[in-house]
Amino acid sequence: MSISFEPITGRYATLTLDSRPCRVYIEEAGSGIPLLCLHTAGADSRQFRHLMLDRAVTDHFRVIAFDLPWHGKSLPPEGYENEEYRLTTESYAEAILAVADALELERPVLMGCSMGGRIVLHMGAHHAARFRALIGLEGADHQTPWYDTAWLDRADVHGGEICAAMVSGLVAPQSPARYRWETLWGYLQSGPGVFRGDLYFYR
Amino acid sequence: MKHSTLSDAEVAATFERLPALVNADAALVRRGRWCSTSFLLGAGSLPLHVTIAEGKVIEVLRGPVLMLSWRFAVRADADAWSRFWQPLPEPGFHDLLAMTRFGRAVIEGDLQPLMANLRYFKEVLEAPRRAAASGASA
Repeated sequence: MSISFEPITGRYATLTLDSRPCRVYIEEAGSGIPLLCLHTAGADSRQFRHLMLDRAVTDHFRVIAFDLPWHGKSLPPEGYENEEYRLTTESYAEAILAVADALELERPVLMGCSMGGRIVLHMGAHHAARFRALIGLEGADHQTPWYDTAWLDRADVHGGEICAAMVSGLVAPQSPARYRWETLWGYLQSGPGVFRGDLYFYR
Repeated sequence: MKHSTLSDAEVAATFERLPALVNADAALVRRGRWCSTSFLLGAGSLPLHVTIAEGKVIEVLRGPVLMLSWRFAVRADADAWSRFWQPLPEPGFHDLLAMTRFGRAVIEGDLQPLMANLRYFKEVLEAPRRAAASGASA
């Protein structure tokens, strides 16, 4: 067989989040110090795929990333069709701790990007003993809303297209086109109202 | 990066190249194929009325034209547009909404056509940058 598989493996588990069963997708690569990675708003764990393929990292770290409910290959909870998704600090923190507990991670390093970079500050303030290190990527402790996020979830504006077009301005002009568009593909695929619901976390 | 600031008239003249720059880009025209609208561009003190039909820029008309309606307006001064069109723009001038966020551009009116076609309009306004970059590398 000539196929060459990447060393990333993904699995599903049902965790109890917000008192409801939720099917969550978790992937990982490498071994060593557990490094739990948090994706940005409106995206999913694929954002860490290059890190998971970097031997310089995976020789020393067990790199783990999961899709929050409503994101990527994780499902929204039963009954989602009649709900407005809104991420809160409490539900975000609960999901992180639930994944760390389910995997029996021993004081993992917690690394998050953008909204993930913000929640690590909360985890440091409220759950510091659970983690050996915190890494915020593009994080901010305070983000003033600067536009009307209602545009991200309207019947007369394509949700995936508008999310990617908004985020494109957050990708540096020097970024290689291949990776710019790989990154934006995740936003193009985000479910209706999910990016906007994530931004609720910043309110 | 050092850049030379265009005058209002030079910015307006650059916008007047949009029909040639956009309509020659088949992928960009296809992206805007559901977009037919009129909007106003502000080049400093000079207004330009732009008409889009199914993704093609069919007219850029120097104003002001009294009582000519438009759906939305995008305005910035000549210095901001000059920075925006640099081949490698400075942070804050690399993106239309970044310029808006940092107070260097103003978007007003009925934003629905803009937001429903945001990638298209960003790339239309960036067309002079891409032309300058390809010219510099040629």
